[in-house]
Amino acid sequence: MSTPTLSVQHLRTHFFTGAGVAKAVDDASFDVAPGEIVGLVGESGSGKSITGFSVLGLIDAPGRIVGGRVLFKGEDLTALTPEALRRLRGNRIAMIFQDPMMTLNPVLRIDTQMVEAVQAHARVSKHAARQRALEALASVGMPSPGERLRAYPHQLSGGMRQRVAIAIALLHDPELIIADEPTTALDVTIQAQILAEMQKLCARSHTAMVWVSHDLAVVAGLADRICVMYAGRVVETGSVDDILERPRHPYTIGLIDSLPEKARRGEPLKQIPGMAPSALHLPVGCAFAPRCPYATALCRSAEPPVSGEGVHLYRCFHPCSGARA
Amino acid sequence: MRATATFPSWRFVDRNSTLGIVLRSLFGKPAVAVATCICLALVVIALFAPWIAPQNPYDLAALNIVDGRLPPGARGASGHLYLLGSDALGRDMFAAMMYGLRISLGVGLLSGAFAMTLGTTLGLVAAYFGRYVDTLVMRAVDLMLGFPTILVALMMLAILGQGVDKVVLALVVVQWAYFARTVRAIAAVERRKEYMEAALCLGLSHRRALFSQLLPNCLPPVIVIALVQIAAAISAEATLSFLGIGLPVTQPSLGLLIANGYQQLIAGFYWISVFPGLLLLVLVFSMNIVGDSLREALNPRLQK
Amino acid sequence: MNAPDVMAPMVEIDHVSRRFVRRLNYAERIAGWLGARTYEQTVHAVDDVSFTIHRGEVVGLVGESGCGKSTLGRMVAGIGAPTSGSIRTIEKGAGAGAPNEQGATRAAGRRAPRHRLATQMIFQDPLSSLNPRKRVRDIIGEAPLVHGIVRRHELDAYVAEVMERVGLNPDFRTRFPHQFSGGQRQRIGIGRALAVKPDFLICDESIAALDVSIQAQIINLFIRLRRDLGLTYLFISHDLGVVEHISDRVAIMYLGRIVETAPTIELFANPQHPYTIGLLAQVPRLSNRKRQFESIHGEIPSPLAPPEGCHFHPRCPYATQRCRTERPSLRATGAAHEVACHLVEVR
Repeated sequence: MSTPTLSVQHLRTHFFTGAGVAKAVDDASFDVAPGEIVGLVGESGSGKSITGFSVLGLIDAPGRIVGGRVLFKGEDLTALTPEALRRLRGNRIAMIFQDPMMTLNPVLRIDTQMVEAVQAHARVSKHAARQRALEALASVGMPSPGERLRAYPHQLSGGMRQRVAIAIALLHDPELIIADEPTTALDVTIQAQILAEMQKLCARSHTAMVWVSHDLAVVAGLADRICVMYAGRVVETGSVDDILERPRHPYTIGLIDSLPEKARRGEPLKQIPGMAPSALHLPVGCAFAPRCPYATALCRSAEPPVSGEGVHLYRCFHPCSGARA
Repeated sequence: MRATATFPSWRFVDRNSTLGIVLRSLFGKPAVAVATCICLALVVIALFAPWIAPQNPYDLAALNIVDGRLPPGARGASGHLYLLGSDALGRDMFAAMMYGLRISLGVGLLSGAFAMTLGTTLGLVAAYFGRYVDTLVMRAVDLMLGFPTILVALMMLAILGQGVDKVVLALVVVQWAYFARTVRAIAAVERRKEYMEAALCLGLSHRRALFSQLLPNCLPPVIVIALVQIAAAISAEATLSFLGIGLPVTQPSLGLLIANGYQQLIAGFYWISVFPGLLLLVLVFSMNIVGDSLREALNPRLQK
Repeated sequence: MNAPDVMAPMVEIDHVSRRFVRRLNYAERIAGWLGARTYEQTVHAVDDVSFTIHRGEVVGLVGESGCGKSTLGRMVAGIGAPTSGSIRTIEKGAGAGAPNEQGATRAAGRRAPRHRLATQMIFQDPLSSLNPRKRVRDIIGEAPLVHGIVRRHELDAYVAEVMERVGLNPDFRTRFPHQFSGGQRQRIGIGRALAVKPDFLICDESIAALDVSIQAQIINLFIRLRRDLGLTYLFISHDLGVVEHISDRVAIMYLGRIVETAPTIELFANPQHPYTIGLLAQVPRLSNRKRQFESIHGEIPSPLAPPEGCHFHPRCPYATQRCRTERPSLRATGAAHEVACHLVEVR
């Protein structure tokens, strides 16, 4: 068994604010093998985005990683100097953000930015860099890439900007890509196009990818494995079939059941009562207990340990059993 | 269904409310806290000057010209201690400064209040109705802002003559533009927000939409500008009085006091000009610090 | 799903268009006189749309960005008038097909308050759709008080009642919007609309900004309100899954035009317009695992320069010469199923 490209082990990222300590990520663990796509699924406040940022060391004060390790091909990223991290970012580990304008500078042309991105990690001439940029744009399915290179970001549509951002991420053939909801803000047709491109790319270049999303359906079609996060912890992880057909954690079940396609037309959807807890005030014991129909006194007093079989793991004292369609 | 918000609470004020944020910004950092205290102290002094001043500088009967030009700390013929010295007529500088502060602050506050009302209303109306009204008001703003304050005030006072009311009028004529410009910018953004569309859907009248819905959202920057403009008004009035065209001699503001002592500087009687000047400096400086701190604190809330 | 027994027409949208014209400023006009080629740019946000909404039904309006669904929704709500065409509301109790005199033309932009209040809108962004400086009590209670629906001394009880109906704790009526979560704010917005006793609610992407589990709660609220209060909905969304669940009828829009409309079950079982077929194929579903994503080629054209003829022809795998020149009109191809496509047979 080769070393996983990414191994997050008991990661804890806390924010020390004036109002208290916000435990955004509180013991998250998962692995990503080379060429594998892992979907990190959760709602707002679950800590999925912060996990992604933590891997790349993009957490600013008042937050910091307070515990755990992030192993990239065996190397602990949390122990690296900022300079060493900088050499990795954009080079061997790349990130794609939800808003492409977080990657793109609105006052520079696309070719200027892409050439700069190439030359940051590779000693090549401007001409060669521009060639690489052109190839990268073509590989993400951008129509007439030569023209697009000379445009400014505001002259491109949202879908095209996101494609440019993805192309920049792929410039140095990274071994790991962290994608933080890149298609959430895009139309269905554009989303489908970009998902198609990402699938092809990962299959071709054996890149490991972490796809952070709140949309189970998108992740179902794209990922090999899914990790479900709630209140800063990974509550269930397993292959896509495991999670969608044999979910064990009540939150996962609730999440799947609340989707319209799971209900009969016109009938009320099965909803999870209540709301997710604030990171400032996590309840004692299992974070999901206040909303869980099966919670007992044990759940409210102690955090459930990780249990499960094989790759299908979950944190629950009373996991549900029984397959569902 | 319960709301999530459980915030750490100060006893009486929600630290996340507007008041809470204001208090936190004003008393949080030491430098700003000092400035705030100074401002408050000066306002109190100005309010209660007639009762706490050691001497009434306008009561000619109490003055003794023999005590003129005494240095700070000297005792006069009647045994009265002149803390900060006396001017050419024997007026206690300390008392004169208190009364001067009163006038200066009064003029500043009055003109600030009127400019705020006029400017805010015009800015709101310009943003709400848009198009021609907007163009009209904004070109007027550009016009007013193009002229230096002192120049406009000079022109107006030359026509109108001296007096507190005329000085206030001259200052308002220039200052309303600052309010109008900022309010119009904020209101133009808020105008597009969905709650204003909802107000339209709900059939609320224009007047209601303007003053009940739009105005409260534009107020925080207005407060900040008001503070800074009051400080600017005080400086402007001091300049005008120094030049002799502002307030009449019977109502000496700090500026006039500085002017009175100007001639005496060369003779070495520095305290007649310097102390009122220092007081003016401290006043304007503190108000600016407070205003700046408020602007920083209230701004992120606007972005929400 | 209880379909209304008598499908009385309620809102008639008749050849409505909305154009946004970017007029030339003075510099460009002068440049034009001097010989430069400048021209006004027009966006046909909504381009000759006609359909009818019946009392008691839920119509889903689906489309992607630039299709004009939000603009159309706002025109139906009375925010913004159409550049041409008219939208008529038919009072309850009037005979089917015969608008009475009280059905004031929406195009005029001025109408009796009673009419306007009957149609209310639920907005997309729970944050900016509520006035951040007003307490919940005032947000919900201001309009009913102003319009005389409730007296001042009854206001408190009325607001409490509305809050309970939308699932909020009435004790929180003195709080400000920022003290609530996104889902609760959306409930406040719904409460604000319900407080003026409307018949017709237009939901403009009302759940798009919410988490999945909260979306389920709000969708259930909409279903319950419809049942309890007999409301009619125009549900604007880009999320086909939700639209399929909640609507009786669906209309698909593309670049300002309606391309297909049919009852929900029929549309999802038997889509006929190429755009609808492509759209439905691309919606991610839980049941599709690791599938090959295919997609409609090309980007949505800019609304400033829509293609001639059928707007969809550059991306349509079946486009013919006729499609490039002639605009197709909506024609019936089945029971209540209308399609705007040259290649679909008319029955």
